[in-house]
Amino acid sequence: MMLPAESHPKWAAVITGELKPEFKYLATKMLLRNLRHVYKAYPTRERMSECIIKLRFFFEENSSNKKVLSDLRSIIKA
Amino acid sequence: MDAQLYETEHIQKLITSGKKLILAGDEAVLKKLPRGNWIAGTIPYFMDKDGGKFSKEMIYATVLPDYIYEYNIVVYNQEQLQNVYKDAYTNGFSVIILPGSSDIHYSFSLNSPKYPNFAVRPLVGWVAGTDLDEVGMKEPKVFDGVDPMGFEDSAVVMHVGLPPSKVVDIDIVNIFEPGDGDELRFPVDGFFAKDVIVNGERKNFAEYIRENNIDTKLPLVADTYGTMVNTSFQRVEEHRVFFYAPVFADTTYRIAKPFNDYVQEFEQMTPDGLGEKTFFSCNCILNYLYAELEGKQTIGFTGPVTFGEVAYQLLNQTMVYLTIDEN
Repeated sequence: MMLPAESHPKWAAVITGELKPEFKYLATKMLLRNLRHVYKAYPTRERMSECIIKLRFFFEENSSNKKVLSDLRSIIKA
Repeated sequence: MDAQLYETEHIQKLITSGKKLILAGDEAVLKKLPRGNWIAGTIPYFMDKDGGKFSKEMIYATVLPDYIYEYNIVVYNQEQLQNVYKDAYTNGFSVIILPGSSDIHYSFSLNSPKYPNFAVRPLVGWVAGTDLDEVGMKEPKVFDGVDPMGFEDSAVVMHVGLPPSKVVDIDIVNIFEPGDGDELRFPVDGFFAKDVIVNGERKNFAEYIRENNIDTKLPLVADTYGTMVNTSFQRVEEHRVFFYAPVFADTTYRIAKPFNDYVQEFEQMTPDGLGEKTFFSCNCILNYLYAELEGKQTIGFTGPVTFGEVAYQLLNQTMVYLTIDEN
């Protein structure tokens, strides 16, 4: 499954909480909880960009994990 | 799952035969163990196959399977611990043990979500403690299998690498869910709170607890994308409330619903078919105490009873488990 580019709007939407898909993997939930916390504390474009890089890296590094892939699909289809 | 309580002599044999072990036991018995490929933390409370148990003589051992590719034991100080995720193997997991009530325990609790590569690799573990009658008199310790004195302000971690055919999952069983009471938010992150925002109105949290007769055996619960994450109460002073894990600003909490029968509700919430896939699990001392788990079984889950649980970050009043499965 192709990982969407950093510019894909769903990344930002899931970090702000505008999109709230259901996730299966605990790490996805914990990471997003933290990224949302970080972004809300200082909601700038630069901070969002940093959060998207971290979230995308998480999916890239766990691309062979079926639960993580399912979570990625949930974001893209949300 | 090759994990249970053993007599010290059996643990010594496992160590000398070269097994890689994650151990939990009383300080006095851990100090008698030979050097080897093990990490450990102090605690005399356990969930064993026949139920909750207190023992200062026996040691709980989780034996690493023979198919592991590689492993590395690292002792981290507070500054170095930020590398715990970066140091993990690409396919595998890491087990961390932190000494309870130490600076590194508090630092990890507050800062682990900010560590580089947070949650990118599976990190599971627990906070070491002592006999509850010895709290404040004896310090919790962790051991790296080399230094017989142990450590009171360092974390020990075993990084484990697995073959590509294996996949790891960490999850929790938490019987608590948010009650239907007030929405609570905190102005700042921390292990204690002076003020709380109750349904948008700022109040003193200690006074709020007293005025509303809140049962502090029930944790604060935050809904994290469908997973309930607890923060447990340590004590309520005149003007401040202390917790066993930090509360975070920008998070909405509610006091948990009361439970009737922990074991029954635990069984209902436990996913079917975990069985042999479960490599490691631990449960919280507060569940052990409040649900009176001594002598009671929590089906299929055994392990140390802990002063805090780690599933990527510090959790409270929660059962944490790690499974290894075929990818």
